[in-house]
This record gives sequence, C-alpha cells and structure tokens, in this order.
Amino acid sequence: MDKSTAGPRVVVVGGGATGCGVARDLILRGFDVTLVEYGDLGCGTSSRFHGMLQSGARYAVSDTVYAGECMRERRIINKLAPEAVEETGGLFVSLPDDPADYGDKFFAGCQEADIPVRELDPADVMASEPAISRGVHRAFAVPDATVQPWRLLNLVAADIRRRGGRVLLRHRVTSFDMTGGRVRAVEVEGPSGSLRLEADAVVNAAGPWSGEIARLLGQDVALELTKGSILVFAHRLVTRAINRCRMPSSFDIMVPTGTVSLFGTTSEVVDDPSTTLVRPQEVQDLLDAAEPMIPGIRDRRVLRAWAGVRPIVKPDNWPSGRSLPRRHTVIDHGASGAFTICGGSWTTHRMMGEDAGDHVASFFGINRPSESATTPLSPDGGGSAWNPTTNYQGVEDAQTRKRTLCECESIDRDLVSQMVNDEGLKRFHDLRRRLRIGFGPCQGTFCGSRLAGLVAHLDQDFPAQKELEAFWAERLKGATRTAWGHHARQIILSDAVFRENLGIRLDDKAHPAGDDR
Amino acid sequence: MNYDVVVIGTELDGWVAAARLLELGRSVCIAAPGEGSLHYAPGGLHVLGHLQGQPVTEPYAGISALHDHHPYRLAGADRMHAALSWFDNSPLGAGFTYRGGQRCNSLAVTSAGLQLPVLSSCDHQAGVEQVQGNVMTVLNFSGHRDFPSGLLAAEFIRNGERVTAIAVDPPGARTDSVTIANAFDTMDDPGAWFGDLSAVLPGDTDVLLVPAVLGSKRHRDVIAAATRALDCTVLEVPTLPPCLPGIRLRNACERYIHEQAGTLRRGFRVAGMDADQDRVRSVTGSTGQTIDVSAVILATGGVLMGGLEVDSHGKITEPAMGLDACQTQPLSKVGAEQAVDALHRAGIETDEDFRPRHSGSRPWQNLHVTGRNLAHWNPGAEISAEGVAIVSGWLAAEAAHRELGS
Amino acid sequence: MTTTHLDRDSHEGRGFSVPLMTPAMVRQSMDNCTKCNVCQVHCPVAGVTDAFAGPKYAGPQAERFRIIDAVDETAPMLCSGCGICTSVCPNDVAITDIITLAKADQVDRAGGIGLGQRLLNRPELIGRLGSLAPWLANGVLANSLFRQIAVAVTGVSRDAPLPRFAGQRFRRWLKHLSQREGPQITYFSGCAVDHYDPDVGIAAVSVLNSLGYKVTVPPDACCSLPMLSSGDFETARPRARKMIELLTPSAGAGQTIVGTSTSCTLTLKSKYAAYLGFDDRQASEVAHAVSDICGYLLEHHADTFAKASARVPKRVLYHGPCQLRGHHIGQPALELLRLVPGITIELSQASCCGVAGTYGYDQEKRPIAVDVGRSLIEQIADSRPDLVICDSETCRWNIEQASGVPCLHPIQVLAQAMELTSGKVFQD
Repeated sequence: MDKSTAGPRVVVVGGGATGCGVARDLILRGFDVTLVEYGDLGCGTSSRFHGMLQSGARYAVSDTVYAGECMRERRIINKLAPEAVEETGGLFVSLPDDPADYGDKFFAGCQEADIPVRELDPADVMASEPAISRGVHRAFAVPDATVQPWRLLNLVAADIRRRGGRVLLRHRVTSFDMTGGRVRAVEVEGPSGSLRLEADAVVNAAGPWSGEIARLLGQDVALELTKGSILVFAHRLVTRAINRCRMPSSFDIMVPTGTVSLFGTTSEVVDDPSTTLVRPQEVQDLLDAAEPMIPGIRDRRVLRAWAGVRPIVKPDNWPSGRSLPRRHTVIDHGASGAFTICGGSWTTHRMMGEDAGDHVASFFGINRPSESATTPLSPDGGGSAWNPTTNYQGVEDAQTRKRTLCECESIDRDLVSQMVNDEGLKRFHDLRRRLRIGFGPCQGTFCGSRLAGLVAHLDQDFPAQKELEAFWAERLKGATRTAWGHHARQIILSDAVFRENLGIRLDDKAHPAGDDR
Repeated sequence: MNYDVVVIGTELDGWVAAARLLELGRSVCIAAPGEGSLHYAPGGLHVLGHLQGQPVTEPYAGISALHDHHPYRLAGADRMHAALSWFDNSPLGAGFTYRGGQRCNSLAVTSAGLQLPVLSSCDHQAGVEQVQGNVMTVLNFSGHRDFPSGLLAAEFIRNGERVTAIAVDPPGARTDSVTIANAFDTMDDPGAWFGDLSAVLPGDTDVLLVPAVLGSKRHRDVIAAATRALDCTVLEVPTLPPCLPGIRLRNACERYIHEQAGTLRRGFRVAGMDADQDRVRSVTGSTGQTIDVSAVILATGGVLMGGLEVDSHGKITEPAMGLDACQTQPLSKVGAEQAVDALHRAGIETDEDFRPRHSGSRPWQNLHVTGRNLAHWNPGAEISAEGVAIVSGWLAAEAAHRELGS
Repeated sequence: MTTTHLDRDSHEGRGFSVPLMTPAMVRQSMDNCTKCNVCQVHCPVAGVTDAFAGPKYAGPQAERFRIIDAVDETAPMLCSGCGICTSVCPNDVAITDIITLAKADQVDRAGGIGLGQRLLNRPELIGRLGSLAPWLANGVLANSLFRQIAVAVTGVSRDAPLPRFAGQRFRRWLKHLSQREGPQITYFSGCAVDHYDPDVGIAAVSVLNSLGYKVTVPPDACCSLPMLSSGDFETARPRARKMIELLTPSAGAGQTIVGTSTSCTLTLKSKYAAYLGFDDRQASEVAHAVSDICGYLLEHHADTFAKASARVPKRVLYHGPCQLRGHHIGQPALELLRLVPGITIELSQASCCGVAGTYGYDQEKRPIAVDVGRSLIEQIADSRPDLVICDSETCRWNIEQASGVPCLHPIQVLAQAMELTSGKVFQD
C-alpha cells in the first residue's frame, strides 16, 4: 500500500481483543495502523476467560444499560464472524440458595435491555440438562453464545493486514520517542532485532500490562488487576451456558465451549499482570462452588486449570468496597497523541474500538465515522457458524483417520502442514491455539511428538525437539493442577511417553511460566 | 477355588512374580481387570538411567544415592543383581533376547533423537554406539503417525550425522503399529518385501533405522530377512504407545504362564479381601467371586494403572486391599516436575521382602507389593521402570515362596 | 479376628453389590480414557479392516463430539460388539457400550434396522418356526437357492453358519425328567438350547442334578441380545422388562440363575442396565442373581471336578468366547477343565472367532468376520484337536462350520467327566 496516501500513523500496543478492535476501527477510518503484540494474538487476558459472547443477561439487573450494549454487540459479532461463534444459548437457573426475588427482576431487566428472554419449565430444563442440579425451581433462556477467541482475533488481524495495516507478533515495546511532548515513534524489539516505528499517535491497549505501557509513555494509569481462575472439564457437561440466577459474581458460570466445558471464575486482586498461577486452594474453591450446580462434580475429569488477569481502570475518588464498573474507559493523555483504553469485555470489544477510534479521529480533527459494525470481516462475507463437531465429521466423511494428527480434537495432519507452509507458523503453541492441537484429554501425550515430527520434516532447521520439550512442560503445568482421578493416570502416562519413551527431560527451571493456556 | 498365590495385576512385576512362583512349583492365579503397562514400554531393560538429571553409567553403583526406602535400597545391590540375572536367563527374558548381564548402561536411540541409558537393550534395538558415524537411513511407513521420523532425522543432522529419511507404504491396509507388525508376521516372504525396498534405499546406507514394528511374533526372522535383503544393519527404534517391544515381552510372559499352567483371570477386579490378623485368607472380585489364597502379590501398577487412586483433594489410596499409601509431599505442587514427582513417589511403603506394614511395625505376613505401587521412586526421573518391576516382582516371589514352606 | 475391606452388600450370599452401569454412567466413562491405545491393539475388527477406526476412536473419542451434535458416522455400525476393548481397557472405559449406544442413536435416526437384522434379532421366533417342522426347515436352509433368495431379501450372509433346528428336544426331555428335592437353582437355557443345541441344556441340568440341585427352567428364554447389539432398543425394551419379571421369582427367592450362553447371561447381568437403563431394585436383583454356569461351578464345586474319576482322554482346544470377558471372572471353564483327569488342553491364541453374535451373519460384515476368525481356524487346522470347546453357541457353530472339528460347550465335557452323559455328548 502506498503510505503517502494513508492517514496519520497510529501504533496500537496489544494484540488482544481490545487492541485488535481498536486497530481495525482505525484502519477502516483510513489511518496507517501498526499493531504490536509481545506474544501471539490473544495470548493474554483475551483467551483467559470463560469464552462467552454475552447476551448481556448477566448484567440485566446490575447494569441494565450495559446489558443492552452487550446484546447489540453480540448480534454484530455474530453477523461479522459467524465462523467464530457458536449459538449455544444460555440458561439462568434458580437453585435453592439463590435469592427468590431475583428471577422477576432478571426477567424485567432483560426485557428492558431488549434481550430476548423466555421462562422455561424447570422440569424440562432438568430433563434436557441431566448433569445439573435437580433443585432448579426457575429457569430462563437467553441468547448467550460462545466465541472462539483465537479464531476471531486471527480473522480481525487478517482483515487489518488485507487493508494494508501491519501486525507485528512477538514484538515488545521498549520505549517511546516523545520528543517535544508528542508521540514520534515507538521502539520495539522482535525476533530479528529492534525496530523503530514512526508514529503520530499511540493507543495503549495492553490489557493488564497497560499500566506498564503507560509508564513508558510517562503516564500513570491506576489499574485494578483481578485474577480469575477457571477449570476445564473434559467434555461438555451441559449443552448451554449455565448461570446462577443471582447478582453476577464469582464461581457462578459453566460454559460449554469447543469439546470441553469451563467453570469459573475465582476473583482475587493481584499485583503481577503476568501471573497465571492457580493456587491449589482456588481449585478446591471452584469445585466446592460448582457442586451445587453440577452435583458430583468432583468425580468429573478436569483437564487443567488456568487463570487470566482482568484490568479495570479505577476511576478517581471511587468509593472503596464498591465493585468497579464493567464498562471500559478511554484515557486521553493530553496533547501527546497517546491514549489508553482499558476494561470492558470481549463481547463489547468492537464498540470499545469504535470509542477509541472516535477519540483518535477527533485528536486529528478527522470526521469519519466508524465502519467496524457494518464492514464484513472476511472478503467472502464470513463462513458458516462454528460447530465443534466439524472436525470429527470431516474425518468421518473423508475417512482419513490415519492422517489425524491430534486424535482427541480430530485435527488433520494436512491442516497443520498448510499452516506451517503457508503462514510460516512453526511454534507449537501458535499452531495449538489456531488448530486446537493438544486441547483434548491427552493434553499432548500423543500429538506432541507427531507435531514435532511433522514440523521437523517440513523445516529441518527448526529446533523442533526443544520446542517439543517446552510444549510438553507447558501442557503438563496446567494439567498437574487438576491431577486427580483418571487425569492423574493421564499425567503419568504422559510422563511415561515423554521421559521413558522419547527421552525428553522435565525440568521446571528450564521452562518458566508463559504460554500456559 | 484356591491357589497358593494370587498375583493381582498384569504389570511386568506381576508377570515376573508369577513366572518365578510357577517355576518354584507353586499354583498361581493372575487376576487383572485390564491389560498392563507393557503396552507402553519402549523395550530395553531400564534399571537406573538418570540421577539428579544426569545420565548414570553404572546403575548398581548409583543406588546409594537413592532414597532409603527406594525399592533398590530395600533390595540391595546383590539381590538386585540376582533378580536381573534371573530375568536375563528366564524364558521371559530369553523369549525377548536381551543382551544382558552387563553392569554398565549403554545408550539407546529414541524416536525424538535423544538417548536413554539402558542396562540391556532388547533385540535389534538401535543403540547410539551402533549408529554413530555410520551412513544412516531412517525409514517410516506412510501414514504411520506414531513414529516422528522427521524429528529423528533432523536431530541426527543437527548432530552432524549423515542421514536420509525415506517413507514407503506399509505392508497391509492399515497404518498403525500393531497391524503393520501383524502384516510382517504373516508375510510369506519378508525378504522379498525388503528386496523391493532396496530400490529406494540410498545405496551407501550402513544402518537402516526402522520403527519397532517389524512383527510381534516373528520380528527376529523379519529383521534377519531384512538384513540379508538390504545388506546393511537393520535396527529398530521404539514408537509411541502401543510399543511392539513391550507387547512382545507381554506376549512372552503370557505364553510362559500358559505353558506352566498358571491361571489368568482376566477381567477379575479385586475389590476386597478377608484377612485373619496379619494374613490374607481370600480375595474377592467385583462380581462377588472369592479366591482362597496363601499369599498375595499386589502388582496393580500404581497411579498409572489404577493401583493407586488420587482423589480431588490430592489424597492417595490403594483401592484393592485398602492399604495405607504414603505421601511424603503434598500433590499440590506448583511446578510440573515437582507435581509429577509427588505423584510418582507416593505409594506403599514396605519392608525388605516388599511386605507392607500391617500394624505398628509389623508387616503383613503373606502380602507383597511391587512395581509402581511402591513408594519413594520415580520411573520418569530415574528411567528405572523395568528394573524396579523385575527386582520387586522377583524378590516378592522369593519371599512368598519362603513363607509358603514346603 | 477377621478383617474385611469393602462392605458386603444387601444381596446376601452373593458377595458384592456392584452398582449397575446405566447409559449415563456408560457415557460418563468416556472421561476415563487416557488414549493409551490398548483397546486399539486388541480390537479384532480394527486388526483386519481399515474401514473401522477402532474402539478408542469410535468410542470415547467420538463420544465427546456426539454429545455436542449428531454426527453422521459409520464407525459404530462396523463394531462387532465383541466387548474385547472394554475388557482390555486399563481405565474402566465402557468402550463397547459407548459404541452400542451410538449405534442405537444412528439406528434411531435412520428410522430402524433392516429386514435381515430384524430376522436375526428374533432367534426365538425363527426357532419356533423351525421347531414346528425341523426336518422341513433344515432342508430349506440347506438349499442353496433358498439361501440365495434369502441373502437378496434380508442381507443375511449365505455363508453364515446357520445351525440346525432341533425342535423342542430340550424342553421335551425336561418334561419327562424327574428331579429329587434339593437346593433350588434356576437354569436359563437361552434360545440356542431351546431350539438348536438341546444337548448343552441336557448336560447342564444333568450336572446340576448330580450336584444335588433341583433345577427350574423358566418357560421363555430369549434375552433379546441381538436386538440390543444391533441398536434396536425400542423393540427390546418391553421384551427385556418381561424377562426380568419372569426371572424375578427365582432371584427374589435367593436362587442363582445359571446360564450356558455367555452372551445371554451377560445381557441379563449388565446390558439391560447399560442399554435400557433398567437399574431398579427388581432389575438389579435379577442381574446379581445371574451367573455363568462354569463360573458358578468353579466357585462352589471345584472339588467335585478335581475328584472326577472318568478320564477324558482327549486333546482339546479351548476358545474362550469374547462375551465371557464381560463377566469379569476369567475363563472358569478352562480352570474346571484343567481339573479333569486325562484331558490335554491347548489354548486358543485368538481373542475372537469373528462371528460375535449375529455380526458374522450380516452379508456386508461377513468378510470382516471371516478375517477376524482366520487365525483361530488356522490354529485349529494346524493342531488338529479332537475337539474344540467354547462357551458360546454362535461361536461354536461358526468354528464347527469353518474348521470341520466338532465344537462343544464345556458343560458337555464336564458332564462326560462326571459320567453323566458318556457316549452321548461326543463320540469317542
């Protein structure tokens, strides 16, 4: 693309949902956009959540206006990227210890927020969801959905690239050139050395790391970081996302996503934006909290536990003790041309991008409205809805079982070759996130070395063996947090395969934290 | 029905104990609900390969560095040597042709291009010594996904070896290890098959490395035929599970037990026992059948095979006999290495005859625990699975035989 | 002092109460799979055809997808239901049952099963027809033209080992039998004994009588297994319930219900619960009362056979049928036969003879069944035993047809060892 015709140069820092939303909004308004991500797209908070695309019903009582915004955005995203959305539907169930009056308030709130809601016969709900408690006394259906975060973010990134923008993965911002009090350039460091990105403006969309980026900009952004931990159950225990019928809180949601189901989340304030540590007590707390919803939960297999850190901007003079608002905040760092956007949610990420876009556009005096809600994400107008059975059906139809590289998730070997050859992706975690390799019950026990064999075959210079070591150590790290029942056997089998058969060493010190979702 | 000894489980330790007891003239019933972990065993006799992350050259010398209650420390070097020598010379080892008797480890090649120390490797298993410096060809079967030949070849190249990777269609329609092995077993003329292969084999090949799937019964004939047809050394490298070298050993064990008229009660899950003080009198299966016994050997395979169970609070129990499991470290460790270590090291503590504690310091008189059920060892970190299985299984059998008297 | 680990259950005298596995529990067992591939190693069908992906794949692996949405698949239909996968699984996955439940769903969606399978599913009906005029029926079945027509219409393989109708010989024999008073035991004869293999029933009752039992034989003995294993659950449901009611008086009176057909007894013991969800008190009382006859004899009368005086100077090959594995009792017939003096036993190296109930009768699956059974037939051809012994009727018919060597139920040999039916059971 001819740079001279492009608008002002904006560097967006952060390749999560927020940063991708901002970058896409800006490029559609004619800006020259570079997105900088220190890891892989969505490897931070954007993939460390329960996977829901909210109808907003969850906030129908606590924040009805926000609930309405969620519903509008949820509709837009489903239209833009149906291939990343599964219309699971959601249920709100009243169990004996939920407040008796919440159901009516909930119903009224949904109606006010324009969220389609239906009250169901509890007997029907319990019949169609055999795993849930037999104590349901009220139940409501709402159009909750789930989103496959990596798929959607990669669609957005592809669109940005297609429109002439740049997406730099594995590039870390080291400093900003703010000569004269204005953003001049962003210094980044990547796999092939450092780069200077000339810029007229910067949007800090680094999620929990926004505070650190703001400090590099010479700004102080007060964030509250909350860690939420989630348990991954080995199959779908429920068909719809199940919420408790009470004020939204921790420990109250079970979401079927892909081939698994997630229960979450804990909530605790942390200092370190990079922490992914799930404390053993959190696992116990999650199990205890899930028991009333799914009786016998401790007999179910849990594949792993992981955590994400959610950043919320603390407004000035916010009363202590009151929970922080869910809505995002855009901070305009004065005349420097720097902005910070933080908070919000996956469901509203497009709207957040639009809001940040409005700020940036008005900074440059450009009067061009956002087009991100109406411009299709893919040139062909989007695929068909995401159905997690597609992989298995594909293997059945083609009778190509021998080519299946990851059996648990039915991933064809050719898909992997294609990604390695066409997109140059060789890092196992990158392939894993895009294709779901190693997400299933065996957690990489069998597919790990098959992947290594294939990548090494395609590129003999790639350090596949070292990568395999790190891949296994990471899979094992999340899996050992839930090492009971048959998953404990799985872990020891995995150990037998990797150490006693392949000869791989296991050394905690050699594989520090990171990439562990 | 009554037997002198009931061996619970078809782990290697169970097979060894049963074989030894039958040899000593005892009546033996092996009771096991499912198949055992030999299906996962890559072959070779791993006795003590690593200590503190470093390769071990002399396993017998290395045992002093192990935990006081490590199975090898309970056995002592002399009894260890006796057990391993018995295995080498027994129909189990003979059926598998270990080149045994050594006191020093050699290095076996893994499919990830790494090296594993092994006291005696099994027949035709690729060792580092045999391949280094030779012109190698790595063969894989198209569609056979359990052998990462690309990785193996790339690692050899990285280490400066001369190697080519080739892929050919497997014999037979299917591409999994066991069916390929069966196809070699039932082939009329394996030499002719390898004769065809020579057309695509680089001419200067000194060593052909193949996935260890060249038959489950006739592998030695097949490899001999291959060697003749190709005029080069043919060596096997273990695949991912299912592993043919382990399955061959399992088959040899089963065959021997049948030949010796041992009884195999497959599917029989021991769910409880009756005891008189410190002596087990009978064991009862999950369907209510009872077997009267004079001695019991519990070879149920630890956490890996369900011999030990872990609950969601991290507590470990022994489900068949209700023995106390020792858990020196909490399972809720932060790092993966530590967490796996804690899972491995938990288990049943025993005396030198592998008898668990009954009450106070007194052991059960006729109950022995073996293999992965034992506490204070870590097969993954030590590379010692077969060694501990054979040593504990054989010594448990010896002790049971002594107790039974004449 | 006696210590007992495990609680004895309420079914006094029958050991432990294993809760019956219902369809929900069967499905939940998918979570136990560690993908270790042991089932893939031992699956006889996967070993001979690439068309069947194998039990791990068709069972716990595919189940994670099936519970999300209907998948159009062939994998479950190719499973023979032999149950070997479940029996070798070290992780307690009810693999065969997961596959059979998936098969039933497919059948349901396809709107039912084909005519041939429907016919095979009614052995008692065919049997009764044949019983009216066995000589006519046998003549018709032996007629190759008739069989060709039958293949075209029904899809039943023309080469399948169809047994010969024997009329109601067992029932007639029973009517004239006078029994002494003694402890009561119930004998579940099964369709095979009622219509085709009366000698097995006669041997079973004779052995039980000689041990002092007074034997009751329920009037109807079709367990509906063929319907269950082909996925036609809805036809089976009322019939299974009726069978439970029929057996309740025996079970309620504390009698053991022994059977000579390993697959019928397995159905009564566990498949009604696993497939139809029958886990009520009545159903579980019946389930817990049922026992394989050899398992029962080994448990309670091993001494008698150890003292058996008649020498059976035979070289026999014992093939433990695959369905026996589901009983979790090993191979009790083998343990008993080893007690019989004079007998030399060779063990079958094969895990399955291929026929697996009615699987080997289906025209499409017949070639797979033949391939599965090949190694057993070759072993028999190599070692030429006097006799093959096997606990399951369809296996016996298959083995006898394919090998030409007579094949008997172990109870027939035990009866001879006890000099109850010498000369009658098999000719010297």
